[in-house]
Amino acid sequence: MINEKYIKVLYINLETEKIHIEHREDLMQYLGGVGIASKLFLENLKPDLPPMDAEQPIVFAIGAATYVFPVITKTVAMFISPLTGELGESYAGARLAMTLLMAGYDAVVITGKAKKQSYLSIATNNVSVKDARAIWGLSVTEVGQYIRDRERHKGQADGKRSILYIGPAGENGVSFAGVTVDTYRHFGRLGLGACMGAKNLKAISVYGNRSIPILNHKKYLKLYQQLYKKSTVTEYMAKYHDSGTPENIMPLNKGGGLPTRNMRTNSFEEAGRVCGESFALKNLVRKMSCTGCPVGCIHIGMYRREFDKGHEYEAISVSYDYELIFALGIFLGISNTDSIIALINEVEEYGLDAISTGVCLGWATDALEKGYITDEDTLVNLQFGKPEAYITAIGNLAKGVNAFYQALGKGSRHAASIYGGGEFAMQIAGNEMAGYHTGYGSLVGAAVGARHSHLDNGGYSLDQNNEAFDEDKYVDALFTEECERCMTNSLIMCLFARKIYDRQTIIDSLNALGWTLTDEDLTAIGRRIYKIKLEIKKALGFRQMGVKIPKRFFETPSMNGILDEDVVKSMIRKYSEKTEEFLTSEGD
Amino acid sequence: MIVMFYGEVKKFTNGDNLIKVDALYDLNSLIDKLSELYSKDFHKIVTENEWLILINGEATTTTGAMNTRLKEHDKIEILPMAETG
Repeated sequence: MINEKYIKVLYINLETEKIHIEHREDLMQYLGGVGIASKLFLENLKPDLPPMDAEQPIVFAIGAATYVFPVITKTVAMFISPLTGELGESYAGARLAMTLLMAGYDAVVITGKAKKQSYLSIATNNVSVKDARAIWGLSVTEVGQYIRDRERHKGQADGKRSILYIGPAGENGVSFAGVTVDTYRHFGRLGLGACMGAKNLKAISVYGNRSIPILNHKKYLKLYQQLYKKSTVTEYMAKYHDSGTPENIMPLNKGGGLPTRNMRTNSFEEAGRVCGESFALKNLVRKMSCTGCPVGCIHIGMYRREFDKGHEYEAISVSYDYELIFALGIFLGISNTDSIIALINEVEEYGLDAISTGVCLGWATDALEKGYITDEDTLVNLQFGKPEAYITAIGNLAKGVNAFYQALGKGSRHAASIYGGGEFAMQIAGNEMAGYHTGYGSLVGAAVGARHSHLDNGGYSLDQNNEAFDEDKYVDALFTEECERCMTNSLIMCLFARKIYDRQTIIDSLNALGWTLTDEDLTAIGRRIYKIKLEIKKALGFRQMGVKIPKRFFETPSMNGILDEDVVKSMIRKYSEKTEEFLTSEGD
Repeated sequence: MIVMFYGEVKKFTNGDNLIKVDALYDLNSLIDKLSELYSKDFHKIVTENEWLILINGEATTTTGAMNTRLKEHDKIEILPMAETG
């Protein structure tokens, strides 16, 4: 808690509707964000119960510097992932971190299952569980409108409220259902939406109206101005504002690291038609920011959809970025920006994770073509490059219309375990791949990373640097970066800002808020948090050596050529030994 | 040899997207040449691994580091690294 020597935790049991608050001085050693979320998650975790059991916790937490410095905008959610069966960790921006701060809570721990379909209303000194039976089954857009109308507080400005909600996919237990936050941001990956659905929890509204005094105003203001300038007038963040992350498409395509058509190839012959520039010229209508960020990296794209005969049109607008274009465009061989927006919109309305959805549909298309499944399973003729069938398939997936879609809704690994085709189910440890086939860094990084994400340890960046590949150096670099990101995710800054917030800047920022931290302290905090995450994964039965990588990762050339399976196994083994040693070491 | 620039790299090349230069001995000397032609920032940023460098379509990581040998007709492409967050 800014200006205090404790972390304020709000505990909510949905079943008993009992609510209590604790002031936890002992959590200060974890700084905030993913640090306190990991500790609280471990404390409340029931490793012997199934992932979706009502007793399993969902934890939300904000960081030690949330909102008071530029680009420190994220909230972390921790849960058991129904997709991987182990650590679920996801981040979202928008207004949520600011409103939790203004409501006066550093973390929220939710347990139990509501007796009826409900939503949570969290405000300063007022928390209640409310009836959501009327909105159960509604799409994401509809439920957003409903909650916005109902959750109005006296004297409220809309900017001080944040709403997160699930769609039908979360209600139906799709293992990669996401949670939408304030329309354009998401807790996308690993199935938080299904966890909320299992708790009969359709939405959470957070409203805060506190004000926070800054104790050392002079020091704070000087630093804030420097950071603001760095965020807006230097090159550090320019590309995120300009065409945004879709700028990744051309370098990855040129370099041969762009997974295309279920990663049959590593480049897309029509990449130029779906790159950032193309979206900007054809579909971009505005740019937005999360609260507390001056960058404006959220790109909103629009297209005109004919919804009936007789010149009946509506404007569809969604936020787009690289991963969405990769998963719902390039991975499915689609080269039309309007079609990609239509697919993103479909995924949004049902409340699915775009990456897992696209990658699962890529597997299904390949499996259909190879005869592992038939049209009777898919109900539509899935073909790379044909968006209409994918639109229908997304609805089928979210609703679980038959046994095939129910299986696919548990992820590509699960579906392949039933129908075959595991060698081209492009997942790593159960989590569908992100849009980087750059080399050993990205593949091993995802295999050993805490949540099997490219963002755990930035392995894809290692692959793109100009240094020669060295197995041991890569393993060390992945481990070091994983610890480092545990520390930065305790603030919780947007990862786009990692070049703005170097170590000294982080120390200066935190010390301006009353902390007295050193460089060594930050290293220790990162290691301490990573150790807890490894303990959680171990408690949930995860073993790094048990990760099986599908064959296609070794058949399709990466940006750095064909990857050798033996080298990958060796790197995972070395990383595993390193973490075992780390877990048994004293300190941290 | 041909050197091509993409995306935001063009901010460091006064908007140029392609230049032809005489064959140079290695990648490091090419970067020196580009720094001389454009700005010192170019050298600093490239060598700090901010950019992806392809030689005839291959990432430099496959062939080594800045002392990668270059030939007369090589096509060098310099792009921003793919990153997200």
